[in-house]
Amino acid sequence: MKMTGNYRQGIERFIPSPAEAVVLATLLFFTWYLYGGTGNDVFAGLSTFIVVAIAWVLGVAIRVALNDMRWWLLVIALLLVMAPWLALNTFQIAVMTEVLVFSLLLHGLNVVTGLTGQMSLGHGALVGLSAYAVAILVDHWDWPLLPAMAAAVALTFAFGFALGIPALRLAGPYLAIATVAAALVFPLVLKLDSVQDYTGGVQGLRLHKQPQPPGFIGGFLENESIAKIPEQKKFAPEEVQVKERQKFAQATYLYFLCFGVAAIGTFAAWNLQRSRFGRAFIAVRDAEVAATSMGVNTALYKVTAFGISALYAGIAGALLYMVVAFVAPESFDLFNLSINPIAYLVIGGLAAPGGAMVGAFGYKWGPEVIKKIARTDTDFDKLQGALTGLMLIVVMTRMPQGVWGSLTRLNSFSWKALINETKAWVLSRTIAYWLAIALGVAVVIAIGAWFAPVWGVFAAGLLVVAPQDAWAGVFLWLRSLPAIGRRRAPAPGDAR
Amino acid sequence: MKWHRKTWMLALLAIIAVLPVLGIACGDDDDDDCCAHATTAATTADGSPTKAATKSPADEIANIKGDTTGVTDKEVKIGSYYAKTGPAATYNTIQLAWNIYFDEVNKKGGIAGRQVKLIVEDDGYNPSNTVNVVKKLVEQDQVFMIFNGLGTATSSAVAEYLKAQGVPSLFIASGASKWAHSGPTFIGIQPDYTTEGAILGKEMADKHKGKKYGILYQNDDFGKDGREGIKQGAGTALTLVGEETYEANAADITSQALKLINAGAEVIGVYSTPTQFAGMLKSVKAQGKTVAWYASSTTAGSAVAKLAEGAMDGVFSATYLPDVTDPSPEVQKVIQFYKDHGVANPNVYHLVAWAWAQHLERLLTVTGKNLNRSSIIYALENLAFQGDWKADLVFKPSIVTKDDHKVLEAMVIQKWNEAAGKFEYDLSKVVDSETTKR
Repeated sequence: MKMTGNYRQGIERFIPSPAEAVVLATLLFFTWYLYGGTGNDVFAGLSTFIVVAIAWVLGVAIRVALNDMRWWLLVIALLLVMAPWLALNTFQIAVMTEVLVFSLLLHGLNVVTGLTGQMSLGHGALVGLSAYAVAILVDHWDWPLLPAMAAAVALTFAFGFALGIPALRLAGPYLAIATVAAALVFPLVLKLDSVQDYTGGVQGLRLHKQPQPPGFIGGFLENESIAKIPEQKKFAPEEVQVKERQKFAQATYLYFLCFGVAAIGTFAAWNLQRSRFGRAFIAVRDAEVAATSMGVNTALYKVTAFGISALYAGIAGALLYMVVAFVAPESFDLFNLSINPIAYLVIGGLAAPGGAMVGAFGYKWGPEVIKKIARTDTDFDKLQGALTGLMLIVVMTRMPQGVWGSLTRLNSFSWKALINETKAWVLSRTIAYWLAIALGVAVVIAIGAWFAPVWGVFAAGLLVVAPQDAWAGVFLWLRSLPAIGRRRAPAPGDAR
Repeated sequence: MKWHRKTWMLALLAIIAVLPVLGIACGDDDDDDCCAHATTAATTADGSPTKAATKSPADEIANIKGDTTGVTDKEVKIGSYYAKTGPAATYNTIQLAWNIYFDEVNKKGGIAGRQVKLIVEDDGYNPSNTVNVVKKLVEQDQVFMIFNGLGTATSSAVAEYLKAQGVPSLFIASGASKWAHSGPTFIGIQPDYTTEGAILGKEMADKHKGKKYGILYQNDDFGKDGREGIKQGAGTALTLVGEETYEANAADITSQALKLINAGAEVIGVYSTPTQFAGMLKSVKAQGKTVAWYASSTTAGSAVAKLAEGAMDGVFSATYLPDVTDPSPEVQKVIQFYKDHGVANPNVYHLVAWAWAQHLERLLTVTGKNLNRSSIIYALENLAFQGDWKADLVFKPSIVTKDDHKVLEAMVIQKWNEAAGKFEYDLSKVVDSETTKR
């Protein structure tokens, strides 16, 4: 975790790096999102600010003392632990729980796609298989939830190895197409007449009894000083408040169950990457022939990657059923659980556990935030999907390593260097680029907002996506304009 | 001694990290205390209505206590789930139209002094999305009730959850027969699909005795209920040559229809949604096949005829509302209302929305000042729909009692006439669900 090279000196160590600034800005944005519009829960909003501020001070302390830049890992962990209390209501707790569940799925995808370099679009089927296995065992054969979940995960693990077999013969897009088959067929199989008695067909299956917090934990969470009830219910009679506290305890209990599993899963993913297996996976990804010649059993490692990945997907599926308490064939269609997770994994950042976490967060909250912004304008409302697409394009063209990769890269950026450059008025291409973009986006949004905001945003998006050199060129050309008068045609002897 | 330094640092961090958690917990404590004291008197516990035999229902309702989530003196928050996107997005018009209706109601001062605030979430006609958006409506937006949620599979997915949370889901836009016996907090609004199918089947049997017929239906409760109804109604007067299904998110259902035609079907009963139905009619017509079509009420409307571009000529359907092409002043008054509110071409869904919105308005008006989750159910079963009140446009008064959780039951068979651009039907032949029971 230690950053080598003491490139921050003196006063600079106390100033947030751009990466830190981005994290802070994101946190503040979510604070606004959570507390600004919906509930006016000033107290919870303030407490988030306080947590962020404390964490920042702590971060500076760590940085100065240990020379470690990644203080924001601590903030994230802190916010995750406190999430049930920061959330305004049980719905938001449930969404955060799903974020944790999906982070497991993304860790799994990461093993196959990020580390081993194999494309799998069939993970929706794996998640679905596990969720349905739990559902059928519980619903049809009256198994208790926990053994059913264990059995489902084992089943999915085995099935994952089978899904890995095409990976031995196929590569790249061919493998992607082969795995798509699983994702495409799965929802259809569930709706076959012959299995409808078990799967419930298109109506899906419901979990009638979610796990309840056991005695002392429940008692603790339902405690008046611990449980948080929604603002609207604070004036309700005592009975209603008691009910709300029970709901809170239930949601929080589920949250921490998933938190525990996700924490272990994340740690394991982080460890796997640095283990013998992880390095072998990376070797297979980067140079398969070279790996073979060095004695890496590529076939074994490819299938193992699929198996481990399926293990994660299976755990995610079982937890998903426990949390949502409902499965239907449509939840596991190609887009919902096979393509979107990969898209958000790429946005978050491949081949890094942090990227998977960011991706899971985006997967669950991205659409919500877009929806919230979209609400303000009916045109936006209709183009929600297009906005999501625009976001994908912007991230993929501007941050090829994903959000996480960019954050870690930004960390090595020095304000001092920027200040020196600015002082010397040495306008590098990069700075020219960003300045031009800022200018262009501002102008386009201003014009767009005048006519039709939604098109303004799209135009701004296109500007951001435009090649960097084009922008830098424009800006440098603008800068050279005052020199036009002094320019002269090259004389014959001038060349080189 | 680097290790020691780090350990101390981490321990320190852990302690500081826990502080804000405690701080927040204590803060909440104070809040709870203050508010609990201040407001215990304002409202009282969730209790089931006690019925005193001596009092009339109208007096009774003022004393019923219950959960008042989403209700204030100035506003009542009502949620709904609709398909703004996806294969059933055609129905989105309904939701937009009842919003126009309630905007007008709010401008006139609302109902019983309360503004009606509607929050409509998009579930894309996908049950797993419905679970999510309804959870949001109930737990985040804290709505009072769910009104007119769209779809059978979608509504079934959230039924158990809504029941557990005690949130009424009223006038569900689904004709599944199950809503009639799902408990007091549920009620569908349309005639159920089995009844409707039976009416269609009976008409088929009368008109095409001895011929072969097939059934094409959506593979969910909606389609299956309709299939049962058609089979019931047709009885043994016709021979069934085949049944075909398709998934709700299918883009095209032509191949299923052609399969039935190739199997020899001369009459086909269809349970589908508008876009798929119109597309199928067009393609079948383009192939030069002629079949007598009997379609569900979900696809009965001049809007669908427009989508089908002439291919809907002669199609029979059962309906519980007149179409916009009906020249009667009652219909034209509603059309004028929507035109005055900026809708260029009102279609049948605007009429549907009008009738549905009137039911909600009636129920809220009758429940009156004392609005809570128990009193509204009481009003629904005992006061609002007792025989004399009829929404504009529908054929017969709506009747709801404790044992009869159905709103609309009267239907009429209509036939689309492309040349005249309207539906032909005979109002003297309105069929009640009671008449088709066997």
